[in-house]
Amino acid sequence: MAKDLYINGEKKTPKNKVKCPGWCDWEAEVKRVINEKDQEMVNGLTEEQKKKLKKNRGVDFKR
Amino acid sequence: MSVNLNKPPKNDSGAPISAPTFEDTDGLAPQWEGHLYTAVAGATNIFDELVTTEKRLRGGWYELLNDKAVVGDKVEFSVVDKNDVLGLFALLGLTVGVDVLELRKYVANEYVNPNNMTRQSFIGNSAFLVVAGLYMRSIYDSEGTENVVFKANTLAYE
Repeated sequence: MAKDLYINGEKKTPKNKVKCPGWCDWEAEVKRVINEKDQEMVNGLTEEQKKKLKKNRGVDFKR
Repeated sequence: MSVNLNKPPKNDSGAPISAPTFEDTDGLAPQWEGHLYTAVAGATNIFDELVTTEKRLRGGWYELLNDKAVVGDKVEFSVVDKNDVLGLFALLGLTVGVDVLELRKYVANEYVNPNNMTRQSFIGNSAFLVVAGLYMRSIYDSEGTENVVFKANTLAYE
């Protein structure tokens, strides 16, 4: 008989867990999401703020 | 060809090749994050912690806090995507709310030692980037008849 399942202390019905297949480069997707968020943040800055960010972080808004 | 072991190896451009170490954290600060959990006896217990900021996960540890564990209990740790944060669900034919995508299981079938209540650590030789919206999933699979209290800590850089 299958064991009961608790998620964060509450009894739940199991969801379908799927393992990321070997060909699926999820780490690249993580970097893509971060780059997109960075770009969104940079888009909201003034030119002056962009210059300062580049100077402080030594990056050109891309990782 | 003779090799001088006193000189560091060099790349094609003549620059010395060196391996980065964790002495240099690239300006990031360590963050130890602890969670206190109670695992229901005789059940599979999942504890999901939402990642709220981008960070580099390096390792962690767990520690039994009461003496209710039994031989056969085990701990696991993984990073999962429940809400299609990475946009992979469509590619894999998954549905948000129905499926959980396990990106990587870092700790599998770690059978706890009921007679040893000291911490058990896991430290990677690299750091793994995780992004806000993903979940760090700890699992305690209990075989016993009494609830087990334990704490799980993660070590990350952010």
